[in-house]
Amino acid sequence: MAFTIPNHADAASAFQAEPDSVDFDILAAGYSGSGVISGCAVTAQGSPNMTVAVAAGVVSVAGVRASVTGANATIGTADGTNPRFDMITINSSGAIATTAGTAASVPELPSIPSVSIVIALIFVPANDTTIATNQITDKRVFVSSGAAGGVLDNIIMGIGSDSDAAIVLSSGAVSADVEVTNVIEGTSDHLGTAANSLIISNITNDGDIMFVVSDGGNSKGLLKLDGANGRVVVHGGDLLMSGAQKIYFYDVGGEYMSSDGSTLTITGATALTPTVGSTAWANATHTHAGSSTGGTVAASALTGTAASATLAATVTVIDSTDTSSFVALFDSATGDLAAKTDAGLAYNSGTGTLTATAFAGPITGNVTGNASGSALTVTQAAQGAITSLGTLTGLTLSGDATLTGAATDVDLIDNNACAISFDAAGQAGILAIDTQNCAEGVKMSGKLTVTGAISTTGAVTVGVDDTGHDVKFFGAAAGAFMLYDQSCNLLEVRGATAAGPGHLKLTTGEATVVACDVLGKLEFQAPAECGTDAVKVSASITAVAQATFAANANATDIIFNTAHDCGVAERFRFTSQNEIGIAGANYGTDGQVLTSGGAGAAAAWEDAGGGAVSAINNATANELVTIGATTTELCAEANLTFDGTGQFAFVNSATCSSTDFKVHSSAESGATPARLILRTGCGNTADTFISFHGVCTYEYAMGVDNSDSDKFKISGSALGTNDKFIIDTTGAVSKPLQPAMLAYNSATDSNVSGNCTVVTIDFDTELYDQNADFASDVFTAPVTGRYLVAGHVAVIGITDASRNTDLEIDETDRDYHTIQNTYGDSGGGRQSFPFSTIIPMDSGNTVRIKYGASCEGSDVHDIVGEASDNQTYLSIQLLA
Amino acid sequence: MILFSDGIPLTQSEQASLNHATKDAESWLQSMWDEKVRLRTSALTKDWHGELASATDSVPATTAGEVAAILDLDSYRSRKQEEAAKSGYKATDPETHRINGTRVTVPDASRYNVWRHETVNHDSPAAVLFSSGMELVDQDVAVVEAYVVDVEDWLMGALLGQINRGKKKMIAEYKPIMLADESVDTLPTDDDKLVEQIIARSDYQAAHGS
Repeated sequence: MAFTIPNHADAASAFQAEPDSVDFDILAAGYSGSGVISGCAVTAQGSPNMTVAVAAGVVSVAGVRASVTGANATIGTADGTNPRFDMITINSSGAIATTAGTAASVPELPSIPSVSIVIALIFVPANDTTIATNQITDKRVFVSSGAAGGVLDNIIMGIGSDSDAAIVLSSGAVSADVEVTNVIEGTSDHLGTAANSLIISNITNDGDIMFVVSDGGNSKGLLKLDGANGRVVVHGGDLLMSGAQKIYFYDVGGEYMSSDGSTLTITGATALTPTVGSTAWANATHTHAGSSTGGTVAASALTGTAASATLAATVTVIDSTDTSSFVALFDSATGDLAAKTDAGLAYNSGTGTLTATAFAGPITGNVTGNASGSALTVTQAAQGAITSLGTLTGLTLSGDATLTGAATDVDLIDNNACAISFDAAGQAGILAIDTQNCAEGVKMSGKLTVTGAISTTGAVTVGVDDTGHDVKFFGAAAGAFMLYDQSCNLLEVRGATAAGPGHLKLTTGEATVVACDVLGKLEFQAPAECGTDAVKVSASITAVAQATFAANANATDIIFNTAHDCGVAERFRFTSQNEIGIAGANYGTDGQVLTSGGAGAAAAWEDAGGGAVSAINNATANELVTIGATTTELCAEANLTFDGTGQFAFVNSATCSSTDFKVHSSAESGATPARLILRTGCGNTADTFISFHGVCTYEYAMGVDNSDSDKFKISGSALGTNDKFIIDTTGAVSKPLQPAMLAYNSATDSNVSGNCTVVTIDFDTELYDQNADFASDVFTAPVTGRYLVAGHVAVIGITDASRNTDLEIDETDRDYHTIQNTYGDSGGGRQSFPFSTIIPMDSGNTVRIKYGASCEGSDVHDIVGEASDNQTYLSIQLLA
Repeated sequence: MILFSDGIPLTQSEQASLNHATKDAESWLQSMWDEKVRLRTSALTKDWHGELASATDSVPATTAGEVAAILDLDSYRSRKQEEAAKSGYKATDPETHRINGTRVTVPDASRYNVWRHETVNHDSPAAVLFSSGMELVDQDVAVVEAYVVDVEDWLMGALLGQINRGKKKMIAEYKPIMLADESVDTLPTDDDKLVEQIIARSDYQAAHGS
């Protein structure tokens, strides 16, 4: 079926059987080529609803061909009162659309959307919910076969099911490289066409077009337009240019070939490049256009004789590997290819000698072969110059070499980059020997005599290790010299024969000499030793200015310095005023004498003896002395020493054991009280105390702490530190670190016992714990001793059911109980458990307080706790 | 006899507190044990002198011999045996405590100190004392057990007491220093954290080693 207006009997409504002006619009569009080419039928659903099914197909809309994909078209909700017509259309992109009409008692068709064709009308009654077949009117106008009069301008005739090829008569001109929809696609490459041109196009990728004829009943594809390769192929027959037609190349106006029936002519700026491959070419008569002045003909393709008159002005002879080619063209042959000779280059074929007046230019290759004659001889006496020889890899001269010229440098460089350089231009007459890259320097086995001065900027070494040479410097006077005598390994300075003494002078460069400036110095050292101190200068003698030098002042001291275990230090000095200093400016005092300290001890200035005491007997280090028995001598006391650091020592007394210090009265058996006095100055502003030293540290100090109201203390490492025992001036005794603690229960612990539960009493708050022995309700004895364990536990909540209550001091080795038998008498529900016991405890033993009661139905007993009015508390103190 | 076969693990706070109180914790605990043995040996021979005299005419003329003779007496019972023979409450029965406001029950009152130590997390101990166990002479243990229900608990009690002593003294010494230190902004209220802060101080490390 195609476009229709149904009879009333076939329609759902009489409105469908009535023509509408839009029907004529649909037909008119079809007549102008816009309609359905194939498919696109609209049908009701198998289970009708408010959609209709549109079949796939192809349409032509305003000259545009479009494929349509089958799909459902949705019909909008029906009007509640009046019917309407909905229009199903397809646009030029192949898209399906539904255009709802206006509901009315007499409905009319909606207008056709632009650039669309109508394929069906749907009659939608009021309140309709399904679209049945008789509500659908087919409005498709098929246009695929064209109108009877032929296809109109610009109507694309698609060939093939997918319009793979197209034929169109384009009413307008088509510009070059311009695309035409469905005809010329992609990035096209074509010439322009005039108006009303017929365009045949295969738009299938790489598709060809072939013109085929029948030759006696056999088809021949005479002309193929090759799409894939972009070629016009003539096949199966000749390409005949009838009459004087031309075959143009590149474009009209360029080269072309033509024939008058007997001669083939190539016209234009022709060029035969690179070769003419036909062998017939050599034998043919070739005509070159008179206007042509150039072109290249490959030599290999040219045989025979070319008339010189037709040759171009320039003939280029190509390079050739042909070893039989010999070309000699001389400069004088310009413009004329006739070969000529030049006397400047002569070849004597009899002797094989080649003579040239000159040779210029580089030789880029090697010159090989040996000369067997008299080598290279330059007979002319004075050559202007032989320049730029480059590098001679070897040169042996059997005669003298004389280098002349005003500024000629000669550099000799060996493999080690040691050089002898005679610099004629820079420093005329200077012969430089540069051995900086050569370890051995300059070797000279003979004698070197220099009549001028010698200067050097580097080190001078004479001889080698273990093999020396004398070095001698003569003085101005006869006999005077300085000699390093290698055989004696010494330096000798000798005076002139007439003047006598050798003279070594040490001078200072200081222009303004002030006190302590060193004028000269002699040093002694053992540099070959090992060790930081051993290699240092170990002794020196210096001359030192005593004060600023002036026109009439040059006071100088001689100082002797030696090292003992480190750097040198002054030991002895003579001053310009005849003073003798010992270890510095220590000149003693008037009347003192310089005395020996004996072996191992320094000399010192000491007062001269009074005469009576003549000696110190038995003296050893640090011993103090007493008057000897004769009163004319001093005796060293081995038992009484003072080491100079403030440490006195009393040892090995005849009546005391070692290290004892004894204070007694006038006699061992005397009755006079003995007294040891520690006393400060009269201001009494310091402590007086005795310290007790352990293995490494001071452990105890005992004495009077002046800074703490003169309390007598036994302290730790220093008096007043970690005081352990204190007696104040009133006689009160305190022991700040004595193990002692007091803790209490700050809050009542309810229902802790009563039914045989044993509870450790909680003393959660500490008032004091002097030695930090209490934690987690446990006291741990720091030392073995007798401890007073005292306190009180208050229990409430006791009922008449209670029988036994038990307070226990649980000490590690032994328990101590306070048991009360209530037996029906709760005592007002409250019991007190005071306790006080002196318990022997081993160091490390612990104490905790427990409470337990029985026969209550449950744990109803409370341990009383108060924040301030303490009723449950524990105190433990070390007594002894 | 080897006690604490896996050693005694210590937290950082415990180790630092112990080191503050004693230079060598293992030597200190060993000396505590030696003194305990000496004191209990003296007590044992004194307490059982009469019993021994009535049971035998002579004993070996050494302390060890006399102790062995006492321990061999038919009438001799260790403290634990005495507790087991009791009809009422025994030292090995459970007991309750209030710790940090919460009542807890210790399953064996005679091992209260061991229980105290075990309630502290020692999964990553800072140190372990006697890592191979503490080896004690059997007769020494027997002598102490005449008075002490659980020897291991006694050792642990002594150790915990010393740890507590070191901790309290360390805090008492350094808390005033830290309060006067302008670079210290806050002090932790938890003693163990305070100990950790103290031992991290350069002045503490200079005085006691790091």
